[in-house]
Amino acid sequence: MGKNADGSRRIIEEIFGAGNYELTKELIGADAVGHDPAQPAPINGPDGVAASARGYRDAFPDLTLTVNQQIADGDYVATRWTAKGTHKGDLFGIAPTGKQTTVTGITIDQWTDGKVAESWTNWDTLGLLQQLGAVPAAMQTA
Amino acid sequence: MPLEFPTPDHMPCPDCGASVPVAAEEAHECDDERQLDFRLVELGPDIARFDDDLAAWLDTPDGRFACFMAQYDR
Repeated sequence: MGKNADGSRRIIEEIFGAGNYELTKELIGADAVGHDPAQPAPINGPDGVAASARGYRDAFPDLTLTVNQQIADGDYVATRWTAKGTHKGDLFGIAPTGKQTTVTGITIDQWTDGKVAESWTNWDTLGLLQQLGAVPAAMQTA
Repeated sequence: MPLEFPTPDHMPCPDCGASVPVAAEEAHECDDERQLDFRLVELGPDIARFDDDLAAWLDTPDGRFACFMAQYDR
């Protein structure tokens, strides 16, 4: 894998998975835009990514992310990842449950001049809410 | 093939909160430390309510008198 893929891996594992927020300055473009289904608005620039990661890590202080697979195509890198963490802080208005959760997701990064210019993430928000007990894990049958 | 309501690959153990694979073949064993942490978080709202109630009571005449007596008896 090339430099872009290595950068995408570092964003997931080191920024979101270890709380190294300073790394956003090195890897995220100043005008970068990120899209996350769990965020109410686009994520803007290094500070936006740091705030997003901080939000998740406040809710899951022991959060770790593992990269499962990467596919690179030109300026684009697709990364399939697994996140694991214990819910110890407020998340989407849900009070801490102490439950450990495991979710998967896929992020596609577009790289320009060595930094991420735009990023699209889809992750298992429903699965997380089910694991936290906020949504039934199975439909009740009559 | 009919689509089914989605279910996660992992679910938290109801006793200790650990994330356990739903399809795991081996039985899950709870870790004592995690179980204690999990219970403390579960009881967090009750503990906070008790602290608030105690603080409010300590601010009443009865509470202040109890504090005085506790210090006097020490």
